[in-house]
Amino acid sequence: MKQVISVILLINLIAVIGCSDDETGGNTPGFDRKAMLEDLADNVIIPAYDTLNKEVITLDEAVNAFVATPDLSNLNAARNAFQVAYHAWQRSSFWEFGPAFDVLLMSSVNSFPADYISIDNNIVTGSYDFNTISGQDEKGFPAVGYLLYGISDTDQGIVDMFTVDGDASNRKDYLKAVALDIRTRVSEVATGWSAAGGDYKSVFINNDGTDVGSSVGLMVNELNKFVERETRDGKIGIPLGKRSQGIPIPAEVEAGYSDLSISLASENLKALYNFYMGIGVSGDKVSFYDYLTTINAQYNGGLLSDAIKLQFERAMKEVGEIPSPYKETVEVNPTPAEEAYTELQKLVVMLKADMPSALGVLITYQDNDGD
Amino acid sequence: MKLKLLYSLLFVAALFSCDEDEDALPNVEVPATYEFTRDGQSTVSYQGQIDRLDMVAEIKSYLSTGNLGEAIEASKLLNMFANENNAFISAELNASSKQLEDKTFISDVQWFKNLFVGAEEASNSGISASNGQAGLLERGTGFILVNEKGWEFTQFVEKGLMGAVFYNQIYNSYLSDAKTGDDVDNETMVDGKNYTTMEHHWDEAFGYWGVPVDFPNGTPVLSESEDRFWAKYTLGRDALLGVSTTLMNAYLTGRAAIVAQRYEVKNEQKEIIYEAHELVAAATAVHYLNQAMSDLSAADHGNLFHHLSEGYAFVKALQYSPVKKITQAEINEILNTDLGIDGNFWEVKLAGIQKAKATLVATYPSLEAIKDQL
Repeated sequence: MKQVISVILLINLIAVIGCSDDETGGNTPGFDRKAMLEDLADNVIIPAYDTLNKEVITLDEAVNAFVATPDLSNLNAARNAFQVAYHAWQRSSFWEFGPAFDVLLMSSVNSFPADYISIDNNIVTGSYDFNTISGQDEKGFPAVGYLLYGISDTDQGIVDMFTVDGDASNRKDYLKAVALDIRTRVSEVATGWSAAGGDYKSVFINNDGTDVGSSVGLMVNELNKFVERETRDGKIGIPLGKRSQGIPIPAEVEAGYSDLSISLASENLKALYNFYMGIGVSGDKVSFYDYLTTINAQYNGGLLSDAIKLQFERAMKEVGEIPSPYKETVEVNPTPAEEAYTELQKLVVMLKADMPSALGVLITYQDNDGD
Repeated sequence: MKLKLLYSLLFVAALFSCDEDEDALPNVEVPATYEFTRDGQSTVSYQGQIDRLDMVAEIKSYLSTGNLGEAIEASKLLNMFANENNAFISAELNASSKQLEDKTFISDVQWFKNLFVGAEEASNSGISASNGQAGLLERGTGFILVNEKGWEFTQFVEKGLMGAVFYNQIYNSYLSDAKTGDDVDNETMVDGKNYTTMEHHWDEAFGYWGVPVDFPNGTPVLSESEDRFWAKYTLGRDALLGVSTTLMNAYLTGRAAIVAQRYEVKNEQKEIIYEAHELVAAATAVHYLNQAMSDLSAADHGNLFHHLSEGYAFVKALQYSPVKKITQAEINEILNTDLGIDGNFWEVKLAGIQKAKATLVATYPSLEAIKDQL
């Protein structure tokens, strides 16, 4: 494995050196990278963060309304806001660089599964710190999911935990604190990208080379890392037992209390596809698909751009066909999940080996199998 | 200040005055590999260094059984450290007259002993690690044994000894004037040996580096048994730093200069060696800090603590050089604040790791262009 990675790195390195002329400039013959970055920022990335920002504000407000008046109606309203926001997160979770990296957005809002034992303990003691690393899986969407779905077997039972239970008051405070932490971090990221705020957009667009630290370099690395570790492993593979000698671990699923696992995974994969294609609020604009097509990158006698598109479509189809709830599927009917995992694995190889080498981008994140 | 200037002038004068003598000295003949002979017999010997490298390897191997949940005995580690009571598996090591403890940077000896005791306690804790609690912590598909601050014992001890013994001995013993200064005996053969005292001391420094004699030109460059300690990390940074050849040439040239008694050449090589060894440690520290930031952003605590443990030890290794570029205060700031208050990894923040990295890159400017690739 290590040797394969080394070879890939070497190939990438050669590729990078081979086109060192345009490492820092914006010129690939026939392709305007800066224009692609502008499209991606305006059409895909910033709208995704803005939507997420809007939805987590709605979630925060719905949580506050529920906490102010804990009843079944407000519980349902909070759950709806949670579902909408959690899906919005799936569309904005794979650009963990710049403003998102600075607030550790991904690990702060979606470290799953929630550490419910620590959450319960935090509620009882009323003492917790969301800025430490041990707090990462005690907050975020997984914690909201646990508190809105997982603390009792019935909806009325959940409402009771916020009304008659001995720790109801602390629990209310905790849920509010979790929602606020999500809201605050997302807001910082949305502001960080906006022209009126941190204007990371300008940095992003002007950083138009392909070297390490360039916007293309960052996106390709993050896309890879995300599809490999989050989409393939976190959402599908780990619950399926891919890290545990085939023994499934239902407790590891994303959104296990709300049973949204597959809905979220599908939303995420579709968003990754749209990002690759450049599909956003203003329709289909320039993105990596067009980039690979323009430079005529080849794959098995055809275009690499089309091969990746096709592989995305296959993976989306298979993931969409996994029965819900996923925490049961992994134990009673794993075959559809196995098929989805296989297609995701093929996608990872294309994104990790073929695409970076065609683009002259160095994959700098590392497998953690070394010492 | 005036005195200093005077000394400098005298020094310069001395340099000039020996110009003529130098011409009379033989040329420095640098061989392609670290092989030197006299009357057809090798003059190179550093078995004591190989023994100590092997001892650290056995200590690491024993400690890593703690990651598998097995009980660690501090007494065994203390015996290995001092090479007492036949603590090693290898009979050769048990029979060796060498040990690690008496070569360890003196103020760190107790630090290592505390880690040994901590490892025993952690291995018996029976509960998983958390802030303030030693024990096992999930990492990937396995576990690592950490102390109450999240320090991984295997990494702290192995990488720690790389600094406190190997680098320390190169820097403060064998490259010192006492061992390879111009006044050290380089005329008479050591009793019963085929080398002079100065030659032997230089070879012992080379031995602690741990590379094969044909470094970095073998295929593979490092065999499986050689792929460890500073040899491994020198080669690991070589693609971006080009340090392998720099260091090898310096060791070869310095040794050849000793044979030729061209001490000004030898002394130039010492400076190169100090600088390059230090740069390897700094670049490796940045490498692990980069990984740690990636782990932190993925909430991967097992790998985060593993990589922080390595990063901590490589930063600590910087302190042993008497001519280090970084100050002790900067090192302390990284170890005691940036990587968590009092080095408590559970309290580490992204900003702290970023600050530590910035300090290193600012101190070693050649890392600037490659700081994100390391």
